[in-house]
Amino acid sequence: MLFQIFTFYNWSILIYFFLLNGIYLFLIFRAYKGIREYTHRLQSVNLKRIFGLGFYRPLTVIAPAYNEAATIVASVKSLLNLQYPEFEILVVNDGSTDQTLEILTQEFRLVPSNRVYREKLKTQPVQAVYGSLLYPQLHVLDKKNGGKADALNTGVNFSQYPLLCSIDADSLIEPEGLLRVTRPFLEDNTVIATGGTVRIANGCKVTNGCVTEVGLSTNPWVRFQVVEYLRAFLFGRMGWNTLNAVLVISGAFGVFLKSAVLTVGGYHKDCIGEDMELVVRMHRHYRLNKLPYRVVFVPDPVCWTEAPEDRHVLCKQRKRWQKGLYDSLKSNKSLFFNPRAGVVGLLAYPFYFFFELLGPVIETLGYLVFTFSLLMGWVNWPFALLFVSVAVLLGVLLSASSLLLEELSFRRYPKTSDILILFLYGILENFGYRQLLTMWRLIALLEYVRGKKSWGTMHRKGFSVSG
Amino acid sequence: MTLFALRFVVFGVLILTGLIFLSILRLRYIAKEDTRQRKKSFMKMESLILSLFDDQILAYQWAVRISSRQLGYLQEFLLPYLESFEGESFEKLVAVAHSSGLVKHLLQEGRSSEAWKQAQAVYFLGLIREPQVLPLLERGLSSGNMFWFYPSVIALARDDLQNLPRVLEALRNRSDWTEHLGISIFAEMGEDVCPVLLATFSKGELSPKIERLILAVLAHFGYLKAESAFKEVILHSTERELKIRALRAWSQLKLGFFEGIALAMKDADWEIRVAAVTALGSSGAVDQAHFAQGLLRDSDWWVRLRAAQTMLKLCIREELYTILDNPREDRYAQDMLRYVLTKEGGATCVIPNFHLL
Repeated sequence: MLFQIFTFYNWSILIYFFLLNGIYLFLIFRAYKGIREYTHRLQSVNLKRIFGLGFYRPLTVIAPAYNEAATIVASVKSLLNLQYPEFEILVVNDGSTDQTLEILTQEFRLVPSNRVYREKLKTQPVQAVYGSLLYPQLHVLDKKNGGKADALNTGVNFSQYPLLCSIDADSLIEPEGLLRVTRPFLEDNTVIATGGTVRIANGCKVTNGCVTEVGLSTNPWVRFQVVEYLRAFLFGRMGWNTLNAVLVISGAFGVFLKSAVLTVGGYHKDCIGEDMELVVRMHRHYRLNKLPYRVVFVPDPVCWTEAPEDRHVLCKQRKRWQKGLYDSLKSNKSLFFNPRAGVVGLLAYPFYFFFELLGPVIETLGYLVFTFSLLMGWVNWPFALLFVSVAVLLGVLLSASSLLLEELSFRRYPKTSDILILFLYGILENFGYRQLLTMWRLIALLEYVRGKKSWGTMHRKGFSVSG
Repeated sequence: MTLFALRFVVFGVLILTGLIFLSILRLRYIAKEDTRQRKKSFMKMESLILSLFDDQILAYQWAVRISSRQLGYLQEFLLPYLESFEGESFEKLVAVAHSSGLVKHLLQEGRSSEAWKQAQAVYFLGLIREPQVLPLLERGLSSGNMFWFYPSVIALARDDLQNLPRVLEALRNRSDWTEHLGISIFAEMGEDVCPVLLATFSKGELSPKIERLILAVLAHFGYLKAESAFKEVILHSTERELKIRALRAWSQLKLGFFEGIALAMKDADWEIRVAAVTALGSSGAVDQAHFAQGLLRDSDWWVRLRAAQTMLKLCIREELYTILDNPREDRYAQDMLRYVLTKEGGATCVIPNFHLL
């Protein structure tokens, strides 16, 4: 009986594995086409000239900050360096207990402002509004702590422009990032949200809030993450983008149509992954009400973020992401295999549910059952070796494909040696790193089910600044 | 059977990964080669352009040195020069584009089914005022894609002043353009467009956005004959944004003070007050500075800022210091004046104190 159950599970795993990789290969194919087309179109226009002539929609950048004293100045400077015809920057100090507000006040010479705050979305009370004497486009809102979603909603309430750009205070935006990520809003009136590729800034040189020299960190944890980010953004999101089924726009950098955000009720405060939840909710609202819309992913590397450099912080981050995924899927479960929701309901949502959410459970059980079957002699060794080889090689193939997409498009790593190192890490990650992530994600799921939903704290080191 | 299939998959994936790895290296090489070629071509073209302008070579002599593979580089190279040059130099570069076969190539691209290719071709052809581009513009003019619409409308505007009604029609049919863009389009038609635009404005029956654009274009060209039209709008228009635009035009042309500006400074709308006090500043009417002093106590930050800047233009420094020293003066008015003086760098005063809201 046990033999039959285990054999059945082994075969299920095999089918699951090939299905997952089949979808990945399909996404790679779509992403390849999408990126080729995108890079061609990008070459056809000089963005600065076109935007300089008046093709733009004014935009509000919202940067929630909670205990970001280490990176806040570099981040705000990066925002001030942005090239965009008309924009305002709102830093929302979400009741920081460190020196965030004091540092901001000193660095940007903040003074109280009498600009009116209108509460369209319910938030924690705003204690003070500041304007900068040095930069008229910079405003700082000081509010009681209410979480990131609450801080973002405060920014939505205070914003005066039709587009909203939410960014993490520890992110650095490319100077042309806003121009590129808002371009879809000019090309298509039905676009309600856009997101760009987030890259890892560790190892890069940062001058005046801008990444001036792209490099690869020597930290192995960071290198693994660089490969992961390339894979997630260049083929994952780009692939889904071609189907109008991007469910995740990174909280590190996303642009939203303000009216659409207000229509769906803003960010949900009780969610851990408020960025993904908002996008999934937008899909749900527009799909189920049969309203024309598009959520667009722009493959340009537009944002740089600080990645965890040690195991503990990385573990916390991944647990938070997994819990956020659970939250987002749970609160939008009406999309699950809902034919009215089209490709989102029938393909994207089930993919995230079975392969991203339940993936760690199935994978971990797979490791255990497979090992046990092997020890019991229920699976023969040649089969086991071949299966492991296929698993590893397909993993390497996916990483190599994302490196290929990077080469075909943006080529941000100038040194060939960096690409070779990343290729090597694409192989190495299959031996330990991937399994570790699976374990953390599984623990996160168990914690979530048992009711432990806290974020945990992330300690920031700050960017390697020069100049 | 399963083992065979797995072996096949392993082998296939291994080959594929190897191919991808080689492709990455190849792409690196191609990119480096392209950079090298571009650099080389641009260096060559830079020396050729100098020779062309010095009449050492003729356009066709440059053209024969450009291979069909280098047409892309040529287009890229010529674009910024064509955008900034006029007259004989411009004509010489247009001749290079013709004799090298670039124009012929772009006319083919202009018929491409891919929007981005068409847009790129249409923009270049519009820039050199190529008459054959006109039949290619229809799709771009009706396109919802701004990046395709813009090159088309700019090509239409550049072609002939006679196309003005078509340009106005194209702009009337969509709402997502900004004033800046509109000005850039009419700027392509040259100053001769002003009398025609003024006549169109006087006739009426235009959309409010087009009316505002016309005022902006007239101001852009510094068309003084439009003064009475601006005055009329400032005094009698009920359209808020049109009034603001007229006041801004008044400032741009640095026209003198009149009672309409004084009335606008009392308007309930803060943006109108901002525009009016700015117009007062540019009028140079020192005897009317008291209006600005009144607005220095305005409830709106922007009005106070512009009022302070206007006072800086119209008043002597001692008067401003008197306001700063007056203990009965409004605190926010003093803060703003101090701020403007500090920014201007001529003050011996300090940055405003912090006040809790």
